[in-house]
Amino acid sequence: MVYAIFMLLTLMTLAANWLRYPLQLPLFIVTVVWMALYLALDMTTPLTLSF
Amino acid sequence: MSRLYPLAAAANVWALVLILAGGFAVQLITGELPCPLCVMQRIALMLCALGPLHILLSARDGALTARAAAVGNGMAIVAALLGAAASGRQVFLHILPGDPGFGAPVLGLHLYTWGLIAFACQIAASGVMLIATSWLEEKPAMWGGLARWTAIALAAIVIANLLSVIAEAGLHWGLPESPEDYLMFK
Repeated sequence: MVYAIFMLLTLMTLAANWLRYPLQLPLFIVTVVWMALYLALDMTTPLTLSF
Repeated sequence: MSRLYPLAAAANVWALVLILAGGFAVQLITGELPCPLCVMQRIALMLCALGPLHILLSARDGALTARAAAVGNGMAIVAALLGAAASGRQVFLHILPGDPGFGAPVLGLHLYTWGLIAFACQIAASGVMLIATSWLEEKPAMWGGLARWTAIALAAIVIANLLSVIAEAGLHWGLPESPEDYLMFK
């Protein structure tokens, strides 16, 4: 589901871009930051467990 | 340059759409489902495409400004860094000698290695586009039709991947490390 939410956010950013809606950049930033945090969690969890 | 710039942005979006379509075709033809990191890379490719699309849509009914070009290229670079982190992570997961890697290789390289190359190329392309804003003349150049069809193509590939990942994950929050079935239909 989380990946579907990321893709929905991407689609909403595309729609905002098309409509020149001012939320375009905030939506893009939220998607990128959320994905970066999700990826960072994925990268650090096995490392933490290995100690 | 005012004519070339939106054309280069459109070529950038179409290149990313073709890469996404290629990945989707491999999924459908070979039956290999994308792993969580593969899906993250696909989303990063979609986010990369939003940058040049922003440039193209800004030029659809008026002059392309240097501000729109800077914002679009900045979006593409940030998304490409995110994608490079995901694909780099996956390359390192399979870097040990004897590791067969995830999925079948395409033209000798695994899809995540191709992904890392694509993200590096995207960063380079956006850097060149940023340098090229020096020669950007803010003259009106109508690109309505090209912008519309490019946006439709990107939206179509995003929706196809969205439906695919919903079928793959079912009602689960995440995805299994090595997905083998569409969980929605199990």
